[in-house]
Amino acid sequence: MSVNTTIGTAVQAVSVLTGWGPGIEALPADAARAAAGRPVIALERPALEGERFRRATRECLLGVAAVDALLRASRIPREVVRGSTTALIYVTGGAYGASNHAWVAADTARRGGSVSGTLHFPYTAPSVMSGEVAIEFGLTGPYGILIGGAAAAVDGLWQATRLLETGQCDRALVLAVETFEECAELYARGRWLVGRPLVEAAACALLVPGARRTRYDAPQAPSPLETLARARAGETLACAPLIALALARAAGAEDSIGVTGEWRGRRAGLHWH
Amino acid sequence: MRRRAEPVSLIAAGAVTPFGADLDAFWSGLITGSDGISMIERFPVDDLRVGRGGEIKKLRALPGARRVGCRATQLLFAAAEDLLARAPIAAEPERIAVVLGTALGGVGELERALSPRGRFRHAAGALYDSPAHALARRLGARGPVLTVGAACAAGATAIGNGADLLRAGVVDVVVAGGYDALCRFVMRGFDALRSLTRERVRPFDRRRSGLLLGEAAALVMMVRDEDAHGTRLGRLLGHGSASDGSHIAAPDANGRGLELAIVSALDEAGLTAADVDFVSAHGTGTPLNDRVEAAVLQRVLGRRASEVPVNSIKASVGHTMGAAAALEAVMCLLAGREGVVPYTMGLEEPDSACQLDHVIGNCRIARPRVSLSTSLGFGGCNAALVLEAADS
Amino acid sequence: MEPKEVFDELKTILVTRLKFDPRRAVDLTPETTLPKGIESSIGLDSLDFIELSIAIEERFGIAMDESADLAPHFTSFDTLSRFIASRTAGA
Repeated sequence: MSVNTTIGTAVQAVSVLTGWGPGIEALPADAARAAAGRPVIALERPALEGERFRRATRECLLGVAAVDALLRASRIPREVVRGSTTALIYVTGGAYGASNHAWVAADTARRGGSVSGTLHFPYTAPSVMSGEVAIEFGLTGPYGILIGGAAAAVDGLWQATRLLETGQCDRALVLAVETFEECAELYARGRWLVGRPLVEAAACALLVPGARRTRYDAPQAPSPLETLARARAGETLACAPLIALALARAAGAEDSIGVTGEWRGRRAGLHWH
Repeated sequence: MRRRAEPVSLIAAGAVTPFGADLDAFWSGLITGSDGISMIERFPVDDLRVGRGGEIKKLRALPGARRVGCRATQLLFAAAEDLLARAPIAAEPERIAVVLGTALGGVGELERALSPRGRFRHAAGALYDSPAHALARRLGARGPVLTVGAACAAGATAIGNGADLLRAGVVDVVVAGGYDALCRFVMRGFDALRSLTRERVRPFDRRRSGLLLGEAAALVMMVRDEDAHGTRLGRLLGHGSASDGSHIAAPDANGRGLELAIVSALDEAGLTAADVDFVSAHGTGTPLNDRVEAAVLQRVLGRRASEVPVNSIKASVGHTMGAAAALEAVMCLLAGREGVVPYTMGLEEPDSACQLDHVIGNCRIARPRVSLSTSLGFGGCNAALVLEAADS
Repeated sequence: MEPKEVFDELKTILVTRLKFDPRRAVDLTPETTLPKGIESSIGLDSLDFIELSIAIEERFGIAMDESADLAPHFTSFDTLSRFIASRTAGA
């Protein structure tokens, strides 16, 4: 029935950037309390070298920064990931919101007027966020782009394990980016959909071939890690499972890790065993 | 090393396109050379340089869908209606997945939410995955719901991702495909990029000057081969994807990503380019895309480039963005079933830099067994599908 | 308009429309090349050139003929300034 895979996978590294600061070290013990009523904990626009980034949106730059942080922290030279043997899976629940909101607002403001938007429009596409990362790091391998919250990130992690197990890549970067500030008003009306506080984040996991197989399932209840990530980081939508991975690794969990994530009534789980 | 993957059966398809309310209208429109392009009427375009596109003029009112305001969701529901009329879903809810590709998601709802009379609650519908969740609810699907945001290549990767769910035994039925609705958001966007032609869409033609957008939804029902009983449309043999890593809104000048995606898809299918009987090209009709894509196909097909028929249907219905790759995949299988390959409308004088065996002027009587479908999207997305028609 | 005036306007467009840092604009000379891939150029790609063309049309009131090969005019600020100046002469 299923592909007879003979290798497993492993999480080699995880990077986390949130509105609380870089790394999981910056996460408060209780995000809701630390937020002190602020609806959004924002991330600053990264100051990245390179004129190429002059027109890139904040969410693009956060994606680049998260991958860069992972490589630096793991002392992996960029040359190692460059090329067609690195897969990139990008997941977001709403990071495209800022550029889309601005595009619609600009239309209302200038109907029939000038200012073309040539440089703006491509950045309304989620695929351009991962595209900027692919350009920056020279990633020309398989890709995945999934839109959704935490469940989609678990789906993305699973896709990464599949790409590795079927020999379509030598390593896979799973990148999640979330921004909320520009659409804070809209999110304020969507309390049924997202939690509080909304915490902007960018997180990246590097998956490589390893010894452990994964089980991909649909648990009813959140895992302790899911609950912990939410308590410490706040609402980070698609970044949550990656933050959970980072928390698990920091707590000394070696290989046998499981993450779960819920979005719009569906919970997905991925467990290395 | 890449292993050959198990084929997955596509047992039926449903669609709604500028040609009409179902798959039959789509196919009929293609082979009769219908023109699905018209002046867009549903929203203002008078301030744009181009106001034409493949607009669906009439949508059937669907039972139980009275209050669906989101047009993208309406298109999906219409395509699903067509699909289910051809093949019912036979699986437990938790064993049904929905995997859809889109470039715009529910962005029309964002326009509504931010309009003077808008309601912020519409904004939830603007999330790019809202239409997929709406479809899943309508189908009673409680398995994975994935939205693939790979722009104009999304429909292909949605089908590929869906096949993976089946191969891994995660679910038993996948409803996969793609959709996008025309809206001011995207018309302004492509206008700003100067990508739209003020004339006809002419894929691979030496006079080509740009693309026109269209709207559609196309869905396929997929099951594992051993679970396919009765008739089927065909099989998915392979899917491949690769990033260009060079430009956010234009294809890599050497088409390296597209070539990699094609090779990857053929590898997954356990085939080579020598096995390909027909190519459904992305063929948008822009000067750059067609030149790059033709060069890649020439390289991949080699000596056979002059004898493997190639077409593009983007002049007929417009570039339907997230739906395009799914529509084209279905077209490949219909061509294999019907023994007719639709011609490339708008192509009259092939560019000497795009020399391929174009299906030009008239449909070709041919029964392609193995088809290759290629797609490109913003962000340097390249995707390819290798499909096999059902045995006649 | 004289090429020098056009050049100053182009530097403004670079900042307001192409999102260059204003400090960068100060360093530019008429000899500075534009297209990506040329050494020491400011690295404009096809997307930038579309935006630049539109900005030029709007700012200088001239129409760019899309069917013409305008690439030679977009090689450097000097070639572009002269092109625009010639099109606005007598306007």
